[in-house]
Amino acid sequence: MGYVLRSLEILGLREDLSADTPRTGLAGLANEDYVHGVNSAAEILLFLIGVSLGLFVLISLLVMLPGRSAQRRVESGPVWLGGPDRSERGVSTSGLVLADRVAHWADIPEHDWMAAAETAEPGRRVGGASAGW
Amino acid sequence: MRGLTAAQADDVRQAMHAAERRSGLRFGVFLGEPVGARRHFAERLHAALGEEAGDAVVIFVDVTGRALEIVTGDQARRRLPDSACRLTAMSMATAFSVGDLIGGLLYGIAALAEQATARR
Repeated sequence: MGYVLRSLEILGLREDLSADTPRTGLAGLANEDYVHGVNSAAEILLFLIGVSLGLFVLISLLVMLPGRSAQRRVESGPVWLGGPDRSERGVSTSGLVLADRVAHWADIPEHDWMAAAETAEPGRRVGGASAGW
Repeated sequence: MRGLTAAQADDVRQAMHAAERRSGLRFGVFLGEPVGARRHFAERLHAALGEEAGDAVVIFVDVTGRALEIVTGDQARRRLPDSACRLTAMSMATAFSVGDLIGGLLYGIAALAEQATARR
């Protein structure tokens, strides 16, 4: 029971300490101002809320700023998906959400489908169709 | 031609992956202007896929020339006859004619995969 009361006193939830008992804070022995200034439960709560908000803002900035400064331009010229070795071109890699962005360690094939097509010989048994509009 | 936005590319990519999973064929999409004759260029793009060309379906869209080509490899052709390709190409051209490039592509990829899956 004494231990519980002592804990409450340390946290500042119980103020009726006996006069001869040294007042201590979380950091150990402390003067009167320190005990009343820091060990108030409301102030500790405010401190934790402040730290949480600060971390939230910091993490938000870390996530959003690289996305804003990332390459947003859309290249001109031919566009393809599913080229040789699954290469892609002319596709914006920046997106509105994290999941759209290509991880920096991802290996993006750099094959030039047009250059490969210049030297490729069409097969004889290919099929398909044509249409215009 | 202007490139695709991340959202548009993601839609096309997902459609291609779904089509490949369903049909077992390999899909490629090329948007741009041809070098030389349009059909020949599309066939060379298809041949440039190398060993995968046999199972590959290449959709080539010449937005400036307002035309599209579908090229199928020799193995893909068994499951995707030219008549089916022609029908799909006409539907895609209809979508393109009203300015719906991505919608036409998504429809075309799904329709080709559907036809190929039915003959699997």
